[in-house]
Amino acid sequence: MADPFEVRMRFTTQLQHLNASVTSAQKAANYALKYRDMDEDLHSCILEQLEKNNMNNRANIMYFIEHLCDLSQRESHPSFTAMIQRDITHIVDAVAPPDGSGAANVKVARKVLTSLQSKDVLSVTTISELSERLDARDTLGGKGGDGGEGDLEVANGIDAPGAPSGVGSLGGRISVGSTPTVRNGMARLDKRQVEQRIEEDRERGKRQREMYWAVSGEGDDEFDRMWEETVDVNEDDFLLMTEEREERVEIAGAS
Amino acid sequence: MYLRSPHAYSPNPYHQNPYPPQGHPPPPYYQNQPPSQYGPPPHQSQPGYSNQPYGRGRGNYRGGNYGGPPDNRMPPQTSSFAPPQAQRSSKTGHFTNLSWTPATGRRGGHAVGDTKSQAGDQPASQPRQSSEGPGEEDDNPFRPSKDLRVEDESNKNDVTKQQDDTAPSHMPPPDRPNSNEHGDGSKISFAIKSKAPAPTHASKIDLAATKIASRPLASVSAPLPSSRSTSDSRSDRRSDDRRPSYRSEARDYRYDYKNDTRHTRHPGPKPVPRPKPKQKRIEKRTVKRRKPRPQLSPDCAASDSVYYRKTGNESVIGSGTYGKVYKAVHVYTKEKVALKKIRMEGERDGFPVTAIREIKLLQSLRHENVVRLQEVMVEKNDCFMVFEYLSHDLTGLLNHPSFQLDHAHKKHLAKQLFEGLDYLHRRGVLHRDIKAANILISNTGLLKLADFGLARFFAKRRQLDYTNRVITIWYRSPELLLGETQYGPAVDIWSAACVLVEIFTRHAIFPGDGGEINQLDKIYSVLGTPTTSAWPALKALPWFELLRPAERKAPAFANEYRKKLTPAAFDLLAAMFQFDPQLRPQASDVLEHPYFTTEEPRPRQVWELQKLEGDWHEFESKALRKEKDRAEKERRAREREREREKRKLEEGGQGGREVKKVRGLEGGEGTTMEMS
Repeated sequence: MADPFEVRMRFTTQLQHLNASVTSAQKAANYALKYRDMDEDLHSCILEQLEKNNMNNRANIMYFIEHLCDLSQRESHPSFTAMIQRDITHIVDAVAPPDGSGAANVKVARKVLTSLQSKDVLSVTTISELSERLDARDTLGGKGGDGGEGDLEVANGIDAPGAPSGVGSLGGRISVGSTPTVRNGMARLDKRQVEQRIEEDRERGKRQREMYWAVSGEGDDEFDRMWEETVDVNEDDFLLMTEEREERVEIAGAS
Repeated sequence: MYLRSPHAYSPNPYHQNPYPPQGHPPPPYYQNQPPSQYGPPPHQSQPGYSNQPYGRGRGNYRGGNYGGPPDNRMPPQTSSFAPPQAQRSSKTGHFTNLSWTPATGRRGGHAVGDTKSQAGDQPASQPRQSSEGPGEEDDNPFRPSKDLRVEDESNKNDVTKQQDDTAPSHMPPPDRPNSNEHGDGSKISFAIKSKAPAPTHASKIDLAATKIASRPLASVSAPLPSSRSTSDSRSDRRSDDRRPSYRSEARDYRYDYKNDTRHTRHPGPKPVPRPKPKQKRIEKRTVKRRKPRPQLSPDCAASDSVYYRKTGNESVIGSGTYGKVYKAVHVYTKEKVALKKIRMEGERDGFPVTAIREIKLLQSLRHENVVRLQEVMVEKNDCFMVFEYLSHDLTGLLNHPSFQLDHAHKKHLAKQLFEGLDYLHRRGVLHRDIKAANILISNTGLLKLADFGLARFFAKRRQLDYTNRVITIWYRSPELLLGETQYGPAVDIWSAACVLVEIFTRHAIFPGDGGEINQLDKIYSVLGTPTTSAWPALKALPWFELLRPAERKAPAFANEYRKKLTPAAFDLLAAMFQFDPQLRPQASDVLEHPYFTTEEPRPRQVWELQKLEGDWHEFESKALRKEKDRAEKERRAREREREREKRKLEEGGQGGREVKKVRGLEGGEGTTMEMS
């Protein structure tokens, strides 16, 4: 029996070092399931890390949750999913805090929520509730100058870059609809973090693109898709024909 | 030794002669061709049909396909004109058979080499004799469809055999070291087929890529009418040049034979009458003697490769992550080429897929403002893409110390840029790396888009996700910087607009520090921060929140650039530098802008470049800058040195008393003052 403290420590480290790769998320999920008897402990680790780390990390943990749910469903150990269902509001608030600091994570949260719904981890009603919550945060800051020319999209908080004041800040300042002059970001990511996030998002995009061309292969799927995409003869076809013709003439004329 | 990938570059039409005349007897064989063309007697198999493995041939002879001047492989001769038999056979409708009859070696094989051998020399063509036929023609895109081909296979074998038999007698071995010999060592055959068969409905599929792949296939069935008409014209021309009748008789005889065999469709090999080849041989010999032996410069003669390049880094004209680009010259034709070496270091998965993508793309493109890929060759374990060589690129030209472009020149360059771009976009290609250094300019002022390493086909009627890590960052559009993955041709328009500014002002408009954040800042400080009213999709961009600007900025573009540009040019640029990609004009719209259509002066080609000394690429201008920096440094070092010497002298003179005071003063005066 592994030392519970050590398990906790290791799991925490893994969460802190999650990156955009699927492997890192899966590794952590596997670890969690390996010590499933300590699931409650580990779940609390997740919540704790969600509040402690910077926004990039929170996004990564959010993506990790998706993997964890996947795996616990597959391994028939529903307690992880159950706890996530229970705490999902808390989790979403930590990933995309309402104070605007996590605005960049709103899209992440939405994406993961949608996929959790498709995996039947979350109910439609929960999703729509959470989605409404997020709506407000999404438009935060930018909302300020809705009228007229005032809709310049700028972040008004020029906070000192650096570590985000890492709190879930559930009870934080709700600055929805704040005017442009009010700082909206409690913790803007510093430059390095922004760049890291960009790279991580690209990495995730790469993974997604690996599969986007795939078709189920059942029935007429592939045919239907092709059929849909087929268009009438148009100028593109004529262009190709013209080129072919030119080529022919050129060759024929070469004699 | 290199193997030219047979059809590595589909656009090069000289390579084969895919459109045989129909309804006319096939053109005569080489009898009437200029001597140079068939220095080596053909002993290839029928090129068009062969699907023998490449292995049989070492691939190719040196130099073949050039997009050079049209050759005479269709001999001007009347006699070819419809011998009755031939015509009869044509009625049977065997278009393909007929058309390929002459392939007893001539057509496919030699078509390519003709230009070169004319320019040049026999050695060039020698390697052909044994190797090139089958390999080369293997994926002839124009070859007849399978059912038409079947009967020909046997024939081909005949011919091959027959020629093999006769070959030695009239083919002297190469007497010079040349690539052929080197070729023996390499077994690598490198063929990228641009002409993958596509599903029948492929041509209608939205994906441009699919379309292109299927294009050559379509041509198999399509070309009948036009090929007929072209053959007519050929025949006409042929009639000017009559040859002794015995030749045509010989030929006709052969035709008869061939046609007959085809009709009978024997699956197996046919008995081959001997006399025919002999006659052929005689003709060839005569011809061969007339050809003087070519003289190669010692450099070229010593060259291992058919493309001679100076050793070491001397021939490098560009380098980047993709590898290096060399300037080289074809040893026989003297044609200049740019060799892009495909970097294999660190490629764990074999030949880089990105290179395949680039080659495939280039093969399908055919436009005067798009650089032409001539061939792909493998040589000493390196793979090269062989391009036409252009003396300058835009960066090099704009940084030229003295050469100045006037307004008409600039307009002509701009016009060509957008014509090239318009072509790419119509063909469903995103370039994704438009920048001044990737725009080549010939010494006659022709502009060509180059470096398709990041290019891809895009779906015109569907929006797919692509990576946003494309385009050199100074030229990257705001939507890409903000993480858009569903983008389209508008990203190239943005880049082109940046290039346009450089053409006009010689300076990059958004010279950032290489990071996304700074790049956006640079854009915002010229164009102002974007607004949702001007760009509704702004907030939906993945990194909009992440990269949200800290403060508002007002647009400064008008202030800064209105005075530097003509009114129409300013207007055009303002239209292209719109944040919302949907509002940017397409390349075709750009070409209809008043800047091109009405505003004076009219575009004028930069012929003056012919007088310009040297080649000007980004690479050279960088080297020049480095050289200057170095010279400057040296000069300073020398000055310091001189001062030190001076000081020493003075110190010596004064017994080192007043060392401190001497610094930097003109010798005598300083010392006098001090001494006084």
